Amino acid sequence: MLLVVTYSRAARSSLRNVCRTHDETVVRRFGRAALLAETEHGALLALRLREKHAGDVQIERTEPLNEFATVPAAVRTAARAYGDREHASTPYRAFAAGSDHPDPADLRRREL
Amino acid sequence: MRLIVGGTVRRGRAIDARDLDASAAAVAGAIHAGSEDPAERRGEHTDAAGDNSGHAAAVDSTRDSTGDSADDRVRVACAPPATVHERVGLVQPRMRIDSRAALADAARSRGHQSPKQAALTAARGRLTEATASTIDPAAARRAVAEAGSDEARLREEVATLRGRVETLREAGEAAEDALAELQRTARQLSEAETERIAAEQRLASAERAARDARSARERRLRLEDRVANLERQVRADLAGSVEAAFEAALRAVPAANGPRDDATDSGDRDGPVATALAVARVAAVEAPVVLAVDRFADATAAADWLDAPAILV
Repeated sequence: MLLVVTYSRAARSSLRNVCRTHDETVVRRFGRAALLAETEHGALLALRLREKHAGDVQIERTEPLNEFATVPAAVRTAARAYGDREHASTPYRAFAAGSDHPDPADLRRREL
Repeated sequence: MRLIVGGTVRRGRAIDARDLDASAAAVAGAIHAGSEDPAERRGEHTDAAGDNSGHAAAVDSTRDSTGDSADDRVRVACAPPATVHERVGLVQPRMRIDSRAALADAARSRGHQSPKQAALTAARGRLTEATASTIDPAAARRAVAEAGSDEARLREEVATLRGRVETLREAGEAAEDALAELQRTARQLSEAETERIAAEQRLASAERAARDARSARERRLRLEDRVANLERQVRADLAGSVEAAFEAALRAVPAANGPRDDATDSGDRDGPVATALAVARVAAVEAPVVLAVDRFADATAAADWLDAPAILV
């Protein structure tokens, strides 16, 4: 999908109007941001907004995350194990220390 | 106050101009236009009737921005109009008025201030300082796209040429020329790949700068919202400070009285015409109010009711 994020009142207002007028191309609205269908029409709407508001419009392209294809098993396992942790207030860093789970500093360094 | 229509001059606080050939719009336009004559503006042309008009306004049709209401036979000498005058200075059928904004202007004309005005002024000041840089990675994106397509094109050529060299060799034919071309193209491919990687790095760097710029924009957006909220609150405070006087004035608005007071629109107790009249009464209006409605028996009754100079048109 195309993610459009606005950074000024004027751009936010234009996005709102676009979403109202073209709701067949709008997948989700978040006020200042919206997810548009990844069609040429979605691209047209996003690019028109950027023409009008320049740097006050950010356009990203998103994909659903397939964690089995994209995320290492160790990270998936750590996420599941952390969800099952004994004490709710334990931060992940403490939880991982002294275990086989990946350490947060390493996780931050490695790109998917 | 002095009204001049062609060769006719009328003076006083309440002027009936219904018999003159001047439209309400022309008279209203004349009140708003400034005088070209600095001496007139300084009030040096005082007239025999002793009008203490410090501001002489004349319509100059070449300067007037309201094209169709410009009428250079119509001139008004009067006090300069205040902001509220823009909203209630011309009362006519089918007019529109933003009550909240008009009441806020009326309150300002009486010198009222909102306790949040200082916060609003400060927030506006911070907003003008919150400039956002214009980093545009678009050029970097285009460079990556072009470098990528160059590289892809050359990769295909190399594959094709490699195929040709192998075919020639298998056929036992001379492949030197084809080989030379293959090597040349392979070198170009290598350069294109390097260029694409460099373009991607430049884009990544531009994206990081754009992200920082967006953080600045977000701070600015929060300020924009804060200014808008404070403006709303100030307007509400100001309108609230004259609410009681306004309600009383509305109750006292004279009823519809003539052909121009169409009951479906301006004849209502609280329609736009009644609202404008009530706001004008509440406000401190010094420039004349132009009335194209029939609610008042005569100009004096209008001026007395409004507590402002009045011109009936």
